[in-house]
Amino acid sequence: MKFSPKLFLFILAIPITFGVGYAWQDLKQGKAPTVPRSRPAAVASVTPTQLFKQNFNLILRDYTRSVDATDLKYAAMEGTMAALGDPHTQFMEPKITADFTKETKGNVDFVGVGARLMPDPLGAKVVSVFRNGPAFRAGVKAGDMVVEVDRRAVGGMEIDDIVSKIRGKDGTPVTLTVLRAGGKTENLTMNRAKVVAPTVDYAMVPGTRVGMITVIQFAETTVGQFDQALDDLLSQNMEGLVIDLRNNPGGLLETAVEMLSRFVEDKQVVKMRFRDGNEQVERTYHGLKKDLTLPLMVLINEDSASAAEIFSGVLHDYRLATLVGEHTYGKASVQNVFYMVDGSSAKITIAKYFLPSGNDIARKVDEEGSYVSGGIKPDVEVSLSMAPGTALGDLKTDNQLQKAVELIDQKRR
Amino acid sequence: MNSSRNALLSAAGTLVLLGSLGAGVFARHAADQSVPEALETIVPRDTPLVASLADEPSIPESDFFFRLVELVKREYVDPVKDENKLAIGAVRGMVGSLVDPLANFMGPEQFSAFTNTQRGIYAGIGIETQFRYDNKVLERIKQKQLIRDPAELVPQLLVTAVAPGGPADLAGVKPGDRIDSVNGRWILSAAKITAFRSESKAIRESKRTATEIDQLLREMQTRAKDGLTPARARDQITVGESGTIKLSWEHAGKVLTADVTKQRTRWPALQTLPDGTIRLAIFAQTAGELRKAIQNTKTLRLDLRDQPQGNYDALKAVLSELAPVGIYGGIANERGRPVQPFRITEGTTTKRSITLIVNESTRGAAEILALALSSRNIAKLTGKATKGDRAFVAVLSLPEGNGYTLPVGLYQVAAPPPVPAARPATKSRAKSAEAHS
Repeated sequence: MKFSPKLFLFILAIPITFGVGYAWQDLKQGKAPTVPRSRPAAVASVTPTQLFKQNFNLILRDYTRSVDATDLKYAAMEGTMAALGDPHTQFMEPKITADFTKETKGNVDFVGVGARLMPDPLGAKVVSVFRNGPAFRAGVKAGDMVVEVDRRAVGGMEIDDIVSKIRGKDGTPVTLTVLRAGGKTENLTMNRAKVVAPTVDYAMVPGTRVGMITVIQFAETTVGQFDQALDDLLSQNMEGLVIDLRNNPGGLLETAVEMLSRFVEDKQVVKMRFRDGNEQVERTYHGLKKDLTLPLMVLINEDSASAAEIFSGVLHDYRLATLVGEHTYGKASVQNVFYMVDGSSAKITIAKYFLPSGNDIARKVDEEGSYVSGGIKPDVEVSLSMAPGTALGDLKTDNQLQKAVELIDQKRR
Repeated sequence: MNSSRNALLSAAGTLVLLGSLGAGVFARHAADQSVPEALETIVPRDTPLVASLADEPSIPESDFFFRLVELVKREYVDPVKDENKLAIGAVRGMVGSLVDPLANFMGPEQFSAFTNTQRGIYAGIGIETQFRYDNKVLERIKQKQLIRDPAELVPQLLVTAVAPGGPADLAGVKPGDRIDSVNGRWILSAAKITAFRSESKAIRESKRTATEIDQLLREMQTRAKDGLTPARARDQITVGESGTIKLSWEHAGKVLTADVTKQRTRWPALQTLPDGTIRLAIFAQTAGELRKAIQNTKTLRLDLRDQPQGNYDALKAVLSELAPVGIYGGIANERGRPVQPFRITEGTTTKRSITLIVNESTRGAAEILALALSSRNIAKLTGKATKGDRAFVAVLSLPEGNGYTLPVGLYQVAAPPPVPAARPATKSRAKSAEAHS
C-alpha cells in the first residue's frame, strides 16, 4: 500500500481519539479537557468529582479505623455545602430532612393547655395564657409558677421536659399546681385540647399609656390579629406603641408586607434578586395605612430573623420607628429545599433581598459557624438583663422594654 | 474486490480508533485512581492497603457528589466560581467527621506551616499541638451513639512538642501542657463548657443580688462569646513569624502566663552533644545528615526524648542508616485487615552498638524507630517507657495549598507471619523481641 493522505489522516486520528478518550470525563462534565501531567495523581489536574472520589476512597480504605461509607458520604456533602460560607445553604441527611419536613408542616397547632411557659428554677413560669384555651378557662394566669404537673414536682427540670409532661392526648385531663404571688398554691385541672397558638399578644404596659404588641411569628393569621390588637389599643387611647419582635423567627413575607402597609403606603419593602439576575420588588399597598402619629419603638434581638428583620428594617429605613435591643440574626435570603434520591435534601439559598436603604444585612460567619457580622443594628443598643426572674414583656424586669418606654416618654415631652 | 477490501480496511480502522478511544478512557481512569504520593512511601505499594484502589471504577458516592454540585451550580443565588472549593469542603467535612486527633484538615496557611515542620522549620511560637477529645465521647462515637450535645466534641488543645530554643521553649512551655488562652481569649473545650454551664446555673440560683448575678453572668457570657475554638487557637500559635501573643497555659495544674513573640525556629535534625550523644529528630534531611555523622562510629548513643511528630516518609530512610534489610514489626489497623510487614529494602551492613534514650514524649516517627530497632535487638532502650500513639500518619495535599493528615496504620512490634513461599528468608527473623514498654 502506498502512502496516501487517507492513511496519514487515519494515523493522525489514533492519538486524537486517545486524547478524546482521556478527556472524556471532563467533556462529559462540560469542562475543558485536562492536560495530562507527569504525576497524574498530584492534585493540580483533577476535576472536583475526581478529587472527591480519590479522597473518599482513600479515607474509606486506608484510615486505620473502619468508617461507614454512608456516614462519610453525608459528612462530605455537608462539607461541600458549608464551603459556600452561607449558613442557610445546607445539606440535610435523611433523618434531618424528615425532622425538617415535620417541623415546617406541623408546628401550627398541638394538643396542650394553651399557655406559653418560660424556664424558672422553681418549675415553669407562665408568660401568657391563650384566650379561650383550656388553661384560660381553668383560671391559669400570666405570672403563675407551675410547680407540679399531675402532682409531680417539676422544679429543676428542663422546660422542654415540663412542656412534654403537660402536653398529651386530646381530651385527657391534666392538673397543674401553680404558685401565686403571696405564696399560695392552687391545683387547677383542665382537659387538654387542640390549641392554635396565637401569633400576636398585646396589652397596655401596666402603669403607662404605652401599648405593646408582641408578634411571635408572621403567619397567615397574623395580619388579622395584629389589626385587632392595634384597634383595641387605639381605643384605649395609647400614646405610644412598642412592637416586640424579639425571638420572632420570621415567616411569610406577604404577611410582613401587609402589616407594613398599616404604616407606609406604596413604598418598596424589599428588592429580591434571583440567580439569573431577575429582580422583583415587593411594595406596600395603597389605602391600608392607619392614621398613627404616636412614637413607635420596635424591640429586636439576635433571634429576630427573616420577615421580622424586614418588618423592623423597613420601618427603620423610612424613619418611622426607633429600633431598641440587640442586632438581629441577619437572614436576608430565600431558600428552597431540593430533595435527593436517598431521602436526603439540599436547602439552597435561591434569592437575596435588600431593604429600602439597599443594605445587605446577610449574616456572615467564619468556617466554624461563629457570627462575624450582619443583621440590623438597633438605633439604641440595650442588651437584655441576665438577672434571675427577667421576663420579656414585664416592665419591672425587662430592661429592653424599659428603655423603649423611656424613649417614648422622652418623645412625647 | 476493491470495495470489499476498502470496507474491511475502514472497519479495521474504526476498530483501531475505537480501541484508542477506550485506551484513552482507561488511561485517564488509571491516572485518576492512582494513589497520592505521600501514602505510597508509608504504606508499601505491594500491600492490599492501597493496591485495590485501582480496581474499582465508578462509585455511587461520586455520582451523588456530582449531582449535588450541579444542583448548587444551577440553583445557588451566587454563581459558583470555584468548584474545587466545594470538593475541598467535602474533604474538610470527611476529615472532621472522623473526630481523630491525628486526622486534621488544614487550610493553605496552616498546611504550609505544617509541611515546613516536616523539615524541622517551625513558625508561630515553635510548638506542635494535638486535640484531645474526651475518651468517653470517643467511645460513644465508636459505638455509633448519637452525640446530643455538640459541646462534648470540643477538644482540649495540648502541647505535644516544643522546638528547642524556640519562643515557647524559652517561655517554659513543656510537652503535655494544655493551652488555656491566647491574647486573653479563652479556648473552649467540652470540659470548660460544662464547667461554665454549671457555674452559671450556680450563680443564677445563688443568694446574691440581682445586679451582682447579672454582672457575673454577663462576664461569663462575654468570655464564652469571645472564646476561641481550639482550631482557631492552634492557627494563632502555629502560623505566622511575627507578632507577640499573650499566652496562658496549664502546667502540672498551675496556669502560667507569658508574652511570646512568634518567629521562625529551626529544630535541628541532628545535634551532637559534648559527650558524643546525638540528639536526633526525624525530618526530611535526617537520614542524610545521620549517614555523615556516624560514618566512622561503632558505638552510638541516640537521644530520642521529647520528639516532634516527625516525618514518616523519612522514617524508613533513617532506619536504613542504622539497621540491615529486613522486617521490623508490622503495620496493623483497627479494622481487622491483615497486618502488613514493616519492611526496609535498603539497609546498612555496618554493625554498631546502639543505645537509644527515650521518654514518655518519644512519639511519632521516632517512637516507631525506637521500637523497630529494639524489637530486633539492634538497639538497647534506656530511659522511660514511650507513650505515643504509634500511628503512621499520611500527609495528603489538596489543590490550592490545602491538605490534611490521616492515620493509616498502627505500628506493632510483632511482624505478621511471613508468606512461606515468597519470603523464606524472613522466617527466622519474624520472631521479634518483646516491646519495650
